[in-house]
Amino acid sequence: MLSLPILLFSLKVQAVLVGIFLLALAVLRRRIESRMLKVEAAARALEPVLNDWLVLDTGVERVVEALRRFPPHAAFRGLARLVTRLVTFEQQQALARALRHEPWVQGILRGGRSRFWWRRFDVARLLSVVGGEEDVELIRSLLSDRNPAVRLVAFDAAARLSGPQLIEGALDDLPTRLDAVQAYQFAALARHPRQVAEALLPRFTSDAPVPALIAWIDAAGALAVPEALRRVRDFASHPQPEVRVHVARALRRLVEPDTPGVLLVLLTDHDWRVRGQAARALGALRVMNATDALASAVRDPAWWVRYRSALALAQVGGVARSALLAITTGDDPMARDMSRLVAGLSPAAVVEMSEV
Amino acid sequence: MPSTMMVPDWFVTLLHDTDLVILWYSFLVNSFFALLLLLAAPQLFAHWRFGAEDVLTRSLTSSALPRVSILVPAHNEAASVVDSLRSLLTLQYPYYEVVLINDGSTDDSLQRLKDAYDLYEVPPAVMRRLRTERVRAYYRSRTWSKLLVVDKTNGGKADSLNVGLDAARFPYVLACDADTLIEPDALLRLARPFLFNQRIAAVGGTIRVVNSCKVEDGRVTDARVDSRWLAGIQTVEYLRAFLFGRLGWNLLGGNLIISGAFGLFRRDYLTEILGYATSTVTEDFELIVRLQRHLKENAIEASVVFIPDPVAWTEVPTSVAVLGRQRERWHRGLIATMVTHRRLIFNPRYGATGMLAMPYFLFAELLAPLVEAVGLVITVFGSAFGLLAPTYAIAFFVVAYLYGSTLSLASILMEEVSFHRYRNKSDTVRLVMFAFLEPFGYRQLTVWFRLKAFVRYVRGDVSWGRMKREGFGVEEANPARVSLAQATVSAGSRPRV
Repeated sequence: MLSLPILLFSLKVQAVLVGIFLLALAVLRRRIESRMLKVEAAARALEPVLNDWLVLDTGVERVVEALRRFPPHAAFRGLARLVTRLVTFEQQQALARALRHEPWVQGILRGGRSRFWWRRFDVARLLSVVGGEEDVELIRSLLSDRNPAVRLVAFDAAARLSGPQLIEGALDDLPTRLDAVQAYQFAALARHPRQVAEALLPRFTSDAPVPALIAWIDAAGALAVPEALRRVRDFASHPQPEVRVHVARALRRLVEPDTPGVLLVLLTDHDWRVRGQAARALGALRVMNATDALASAVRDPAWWVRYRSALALAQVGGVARSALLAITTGDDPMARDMSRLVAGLSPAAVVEMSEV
Repeated sequence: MPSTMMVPDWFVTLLHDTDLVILWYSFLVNSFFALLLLLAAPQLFAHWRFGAEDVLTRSLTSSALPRVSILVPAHNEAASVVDSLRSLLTLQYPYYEVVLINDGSTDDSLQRLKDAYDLYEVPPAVMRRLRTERVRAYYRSRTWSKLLVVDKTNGGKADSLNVGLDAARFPYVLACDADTLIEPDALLRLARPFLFNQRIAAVGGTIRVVNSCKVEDGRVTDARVDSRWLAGIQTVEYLRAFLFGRLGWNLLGGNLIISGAFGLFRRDYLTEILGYATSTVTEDFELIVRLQRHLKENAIEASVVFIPDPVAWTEVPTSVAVLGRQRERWHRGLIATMVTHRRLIFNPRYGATGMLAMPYFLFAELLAPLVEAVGLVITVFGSAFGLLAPTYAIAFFVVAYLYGSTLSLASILMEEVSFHRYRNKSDTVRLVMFAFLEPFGYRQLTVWFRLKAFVRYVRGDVSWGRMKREGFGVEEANPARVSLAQATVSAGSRPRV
């Protein structure tokens, strides 16, 4: 049953809570604004120094000196903004060496094995700018961190290094990752194509598990290293259609005389996904003598194959484009519709639609 | 219990017990909101950290982002559609297309689009999977390759979205309203769960109130809080609903609201469930319930998540009449959806959706206006006629209203320490003031509107009602923005917790 004292007590509790929230609001707002001002001041002060260093090559010491003047959080934010700028590999290395022993950098790096994920996250972010060979162990642990954001940023830190252990580890992990994460890892791995290709080659075996094989084929495609892609080509007759889909897609990056022949075979595959990717690859490689095959594929029963084939004809240009235009007045209504759709696109639109 | 009227004791006891039940109901519902708040706080912190500029830039430059088709249904939006579309076509996102569906506009929307974007008609080379009203023509732009315009006969928002689902090329679709302003980096932020190795069926972002904000070229450049009570209170309501309501549900599972004005979906799942239902007045809520049901029934491991930092801005009603129509429609849609999918309630087969989310929507959302109305009547009349002790009136005020205001205050605090979008001190003061004003009139009004929904539902009413907009930045007298005032829109973004 309700009694007045209980009610008054709960009213008091509410009042205290309201008081605490209001006080917190006033104090935190003030603190946040002051912190933001510091960060903005750091960014403003750092901007000309960074510009001079990046454009005029004025020496990295001035950047280090400028960063030293700010509180660690402001310096860190200023440094993190470097990601938005175009920095050469040599400049990155010079900056990493110069910053490595700065007390504020060391302070943040000490959080690498912290139990708080946000500290590890900051360490991964910082290592993506200042990481060096001495950080391999730390980066490896961040790559397998339980927090996905830490893992994601750690890829960028790992990309700075070419250590075989990191590359092997990343390739081992690839099959367990979803497409988006795989693509993110490829971007990181792409900075060391040769080393990655070397690590990939022994993995391309006929008894490799299908999910892993697919991930590695995609990696080879993303890296576009001919040695690796030549091995990928060997899987064009793999019994699993999923594998052939990825082979066809990866081969669009292998500009070699033997590639169109393989792709033309794949264009007649019984699986429409393989045919679609083969058409896309033939368009990307601008294989003029695939015109007839692509023109036939515009009459394919599968919508995606018709779409990819029409785009491929437009991309190849010349005779292929004439073939596409001829289909616009043909007697196959589905092929006619698709060719009219693509024939009206601007060259830029054809490129954009072919790529995605 | 002292009684000054000649009423039987059993009646007084009944009043007394009913009021006690209502008090407990209010306490439990508000405590559940408090639990959501506790669950939301660490996630809000996490997303705030994840949204760092360098992390976003890395995502932007990688090829890892999912391909997205933005679906924009538009009906008689001639004056604003060209500008709205331009802001959508210049989002910071590498892989997307915009599919604008002209839903049988009777104004010159289509001609304006043709002129502005150099449209040319293309054959209907799309895979039709869903039943919709007749599509009249497809147009592509010679200047913007990522734009597709579909012209169709009028069939409503859900029907337009279904046409868009068929016309979309990409595996993910973002449903948004033509009059919703999406922040340039919102799509990039919305894609975050994909980079975190999560299997995603749908992901939703935050809707904020644009009234009184400074808008330039389709972008909010200065976030402000409207000083008018109706818009101001709704600003607090939206903050509360998005910053802790939906975020809290992420951890409990069974998230059931992704706003129709700003939600990203896996297209194949939507196609499998035959797209948006055209017979409902809240197609977004119904869609998510059906999607969750589909995922559970087919043992598909994919989640529906909400993330707080991708932001889209929408206008809220500033007149009681329009607010009334909007809230009545939302509640009618909720009733219809709950009735349609009643077998999910307390059904363990549907996991958190069946055991937690659906019961929550039944007890804390659907029945809330009934309970609150009974509580108000009993408390006011019971106290006035001396049938209830004043302690009950105090208790009702503390539990039903002050508790709610405290939670609103907590959500303002969360906003301030995380995204800090309202830079002016006066706006923060206004937010606090509106958090305390909400129980005085506004709450009772929304109870009344929602009660009307029961009556109209029983009558079988399926109309949407008309909603008049003021337009963004009206004081600047930009014709493109002011003209939104003439637009009638049928959507809106439910700020339900």
